[in-house]
Amino acid sequence: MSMSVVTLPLLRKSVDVRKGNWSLATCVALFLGSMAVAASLGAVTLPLDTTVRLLVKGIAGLPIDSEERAQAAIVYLIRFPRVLAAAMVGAALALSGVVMQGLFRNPLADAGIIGVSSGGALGGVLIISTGLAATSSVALPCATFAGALCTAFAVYFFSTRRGRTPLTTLLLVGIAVNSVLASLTSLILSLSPDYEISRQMLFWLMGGLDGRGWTHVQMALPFVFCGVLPVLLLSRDLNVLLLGEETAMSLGVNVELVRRILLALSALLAGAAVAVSGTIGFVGLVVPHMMRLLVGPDHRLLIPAAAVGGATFLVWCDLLARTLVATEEIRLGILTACVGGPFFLHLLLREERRQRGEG
Amino acid sequence: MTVQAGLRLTAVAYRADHKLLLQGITVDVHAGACLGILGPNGAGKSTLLRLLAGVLPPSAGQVLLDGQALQCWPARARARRLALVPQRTELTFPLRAREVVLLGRTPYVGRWQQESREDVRVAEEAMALTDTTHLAEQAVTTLSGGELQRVVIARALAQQPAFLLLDEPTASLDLRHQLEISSLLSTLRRRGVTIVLATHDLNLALALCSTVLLLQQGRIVAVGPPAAVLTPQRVRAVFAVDVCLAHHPVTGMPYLIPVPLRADDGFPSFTLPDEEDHYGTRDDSSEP
Repeated sequence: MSMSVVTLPLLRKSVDVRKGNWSLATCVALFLGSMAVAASLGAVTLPLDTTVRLLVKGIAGLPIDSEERAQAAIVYLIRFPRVLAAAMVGAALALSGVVMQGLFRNPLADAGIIGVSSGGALGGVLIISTGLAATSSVALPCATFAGALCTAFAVYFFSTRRGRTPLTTLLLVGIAVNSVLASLTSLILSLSPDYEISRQMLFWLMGGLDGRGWTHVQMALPFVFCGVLPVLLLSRDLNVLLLGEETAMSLGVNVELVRRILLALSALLAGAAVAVSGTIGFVGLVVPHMMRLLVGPDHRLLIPAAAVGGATFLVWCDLLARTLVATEEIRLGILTACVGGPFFLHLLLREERRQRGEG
Repeated sequence: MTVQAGLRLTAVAYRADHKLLLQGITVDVHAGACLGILGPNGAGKSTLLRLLAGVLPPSAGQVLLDGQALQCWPARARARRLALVPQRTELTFPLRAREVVLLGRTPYVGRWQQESREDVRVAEEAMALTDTTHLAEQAVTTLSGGELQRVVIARALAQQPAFLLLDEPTASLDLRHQLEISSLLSTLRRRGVTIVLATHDLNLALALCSTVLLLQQGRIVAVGPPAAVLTPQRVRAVFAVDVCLAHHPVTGMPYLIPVPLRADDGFPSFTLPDEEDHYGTRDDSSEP
């Protein structure tokens, strides 16, 4: 134990932290840039500087020149809230993915795959079909949260034995839960007597951000906020959970309690996302994995990185969804599935190989 | 009542799924001692270790740490006093070795804090002691079994525990690393760390332990100094194997040499305890 041995990794650590912070700062800059670009592109394309100026004026509440009114309306009332909604949904889905992967110690856990999003969708359809969704702006997110929460705990209790969640069990439980929830959702849709309500539910279920505006942002923002902060506080506990149940317990972490809190938080985030956009798959799978490659698996960096990364990812996906084909919108869920499906297969095969190599 | 530093089990029993896995366990582990827990597969070694670590609560009886029931200790305070090295550590995500060892400082770092320089220093000392400093930047998912085991021990040492509990620390290691772990444990003992280890290696227990506890089907068969407990007769009775007691030609320590089973010997007349280790084995459902 000479001094040189002792000091070298210490220096490395501070370099690491600095590198991580730089990656994070780069991500944030990229995210802000993406928001501006997304707000300026569309059926009417505006110069980037005009967009930014109008956005700043809109946010600060400054007066707008009369000749810029129309442009300001496009940027601030139509595009920007939709971009914000995309960012929020992306951040929420990516975070819920990170949290589930950490607590199940399983890189394939994701709100869509294990059925939590479907649970949220069922809750949402229930509340819309009863007409309660129209009475209050918090009714829909509350219902999607409740649906997501029940599903998350059901999946947890079905797939976890003695603190371990075998990969195959989790995926199979996910398939079962997803199909039960999907058929219940179809049942409610088919039983709905009111054509207008059915149409409204179908539109929402398909998963997309068309027509989303400030009301949607206001509706979901408190839920996302209440999910993000405690997750950040529990990031160290998530790291400890990665070492396994026994080790986490012996390190003084109340494993069962922490797991349940994290599960509830991931359901809260997924539920908030579903309330805004319907079910959009694979964001919680693709983004955490990419961010892990970028900043490493330490949750204290990974969690903020995944939030920013998820937001950026969905802002771009949504931009593509509404600009790729000039006259028509492509469903956002279709785009994310095109990226995420092959990615999921890749991860699955890699896990298979890894487990076979070990066993 | 005098309070003394140490672990004490009084009439401890543990039951899981209506099966009595341990019963009537009464033993004292004094500060500075080294207790070896021995016994065939399924005898309850790992379960006993988990009870000592406070990871499992006893179904009956008490586990006392420094005179106070383990379940009454605040979890963080307990984690500063007592560390566990489990039999297997499965890591899914590529944390670096340094990050894993630093997680050993968890009971010292507040929720709102970063690790201090002192935390980093302790972690580095633990890595130097376990010869893992050169692995600091490697992802733990890429380490060999022996390297990972040493990183995990470094993590436990980073807790600066007075009591170190190890579940078969040499099980997956090659000969060189077995000897390294063995010499590391004697170093730790000299530094005043109390060690409890569950092991299949009778000779490791003979060389290292001040006391051994022999378990069979959840009950204590014998407890005492290793040379007194591990007589050939008792080893034959518990493990169903004949051994010769010899002395190590270099160290002069007592050394047990197993006698191979003859092909026509068949299995011993009494039935062996259930082969499946209650906790150590993988869940069958995890197989694809």
